[in-house]
Amino acid sequence: MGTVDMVGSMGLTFFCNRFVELLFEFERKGAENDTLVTICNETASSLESVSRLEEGGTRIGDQMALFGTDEDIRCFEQVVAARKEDERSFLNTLAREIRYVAHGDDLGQRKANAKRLREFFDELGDVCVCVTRDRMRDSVTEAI
Amino acid sequence: MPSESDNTPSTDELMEQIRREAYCLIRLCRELANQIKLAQTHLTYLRETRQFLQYISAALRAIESFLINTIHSEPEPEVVRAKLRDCAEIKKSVGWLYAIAKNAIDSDCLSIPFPLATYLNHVARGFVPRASLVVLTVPNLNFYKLNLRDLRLHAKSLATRVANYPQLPHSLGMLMFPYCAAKDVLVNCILFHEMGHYVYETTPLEEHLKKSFSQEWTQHFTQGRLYQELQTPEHTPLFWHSLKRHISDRMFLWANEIFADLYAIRLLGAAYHLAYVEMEQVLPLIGGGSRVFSSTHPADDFRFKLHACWLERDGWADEIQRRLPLVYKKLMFCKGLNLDGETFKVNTNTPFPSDRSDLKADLDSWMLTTFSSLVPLVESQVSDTLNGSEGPIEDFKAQDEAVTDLLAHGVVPSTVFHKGGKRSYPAPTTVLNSGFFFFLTKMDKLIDRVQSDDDHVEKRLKYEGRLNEWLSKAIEDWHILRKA
Repeated sequence: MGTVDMVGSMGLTFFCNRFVELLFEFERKGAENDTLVTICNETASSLESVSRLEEGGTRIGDQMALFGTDEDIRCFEQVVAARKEDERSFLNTLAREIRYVAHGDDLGQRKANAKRLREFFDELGDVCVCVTRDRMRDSVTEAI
Repeated sequence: MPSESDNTPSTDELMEQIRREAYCLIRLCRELANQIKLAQTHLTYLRETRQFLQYISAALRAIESFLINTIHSEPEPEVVRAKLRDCAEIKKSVGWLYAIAKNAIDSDCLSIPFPLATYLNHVARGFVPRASLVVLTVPNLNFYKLNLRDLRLHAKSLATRVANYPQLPHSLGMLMFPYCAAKDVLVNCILFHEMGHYVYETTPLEEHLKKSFSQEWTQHFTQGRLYQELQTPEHTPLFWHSLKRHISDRMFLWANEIFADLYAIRLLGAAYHLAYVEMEQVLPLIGGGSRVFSSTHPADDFRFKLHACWLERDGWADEIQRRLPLVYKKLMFCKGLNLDGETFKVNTNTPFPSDRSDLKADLDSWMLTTFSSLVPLVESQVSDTLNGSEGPIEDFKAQDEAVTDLLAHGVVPSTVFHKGGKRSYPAPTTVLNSGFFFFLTKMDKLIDRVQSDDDHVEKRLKYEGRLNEWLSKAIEDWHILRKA
């Protein structure tokens, strides 16, 4: 197994796992912590920057939390496609909902958003594990 | 007919699966840790390799603790899938540690080019404080450096889930060479290039490249034909992100290769270029596509164009012309090539629909032109990085004749005796350059002197091996003699 195969979307999987746990804690207790706010802000920025790129945005090559590798992008596209959503509006909605969890006024709405987001990132995490595993299988087959 | 929900595992069932996986992984971690301990009791390693083995052991301990905690945990149903995914990713990490530990265990002092590895560490510390270059054998017939940036990110990601997972030391570098080539010091001159990749990561070059590239991208892709053609609904934000990543990744990888090449030439001189040409004879991965840029490497002829410029600038071109006219001719030919879409081609999987080969041709041509504008940045970074370090040409010119004479008499060229009883100790770079020129031009003379019943081929192979041993010994001696 090569380094690239091993790294794959691992960062994104761990990110999803962590985010899922933080969102669930918020759903349960209703009190956000600094880590959740920081992760929400960073994630929303990453999603927004993807939308801006086609307008000549300059953030390419940065170590973005969500789209650091081609695998990350593939996983994300797969989840969005499965939901039959328009990608552009989905990215914007996702960013807006994430920001609302961290900074919104209505606690009930924030919790409801957190639940929806938790389910989305749970699904994304599952896809990441499968995509990377498939890639590793492919690389083994090629090697043989 | 059972429903889909009947098939969905319960939280208890998932936890049972997680625990089973955890026990298997713990057993694997312990077996691996024992292998490392065992190897260290009966083999001697380069200090840097020993430290790396300790790092692997620490990583295994952290994973084991995490798994033990997982076995004891009682997570809520909402987060149990996250736990399962943690285990899945940890399996991959353990798999990688398992493979790299084997490389490290096999790389004891007798299995690597030990004197050269020590010298590389000595040189690297001039650029990176406390540099720690681990030289590892690999089963592939190729030289490379492990992508530490990815591994650092990986260790960072792991640390967000696995408490006390050790971060890769900033000064660590891992250079890999084919496992049968431990004694071949001349071919291992390629490791100077791999060291260049390591130094590249410590420079701000990629930041500068990103800025310049982004300006070029913005200018081209907000006005050019490509942008107009790709303004369709199916080209989503993620497509654009992917396209830009694809292109910038190519540029940065090519720049990294050029940096490593020029770094090796500036630091070692002609021997690096000669080692590269020599390796073309046997390595399956280089040579062949001399005018084609791959997804990771610039075309050989373009690399040779830059080799030619820098070898000339550093005073090596005359030495090559005098001794190896064919090599010189090829270098000068490549020097005259232009980096454009007519002369060079790009072979990468551009994320365009297959029926748009016209767009790919446009993009390839733009990539080559843009890369051409980035090359001066790379060259200037190499000069800045090596600013103040002594080039190898002066020592070579002063000692080459004597070193060559010693080799011709089968003497290890550690010490050169001058008139009046004065002694000097040729630098390892001189040993390698003189050795390479000797190997390529004077082997037959050496062989003619040897009285033996072996036929020419056997004699030649035997004395190629001897030459490498003499050179290796001279580098080893230099480490001691320079302190005298």
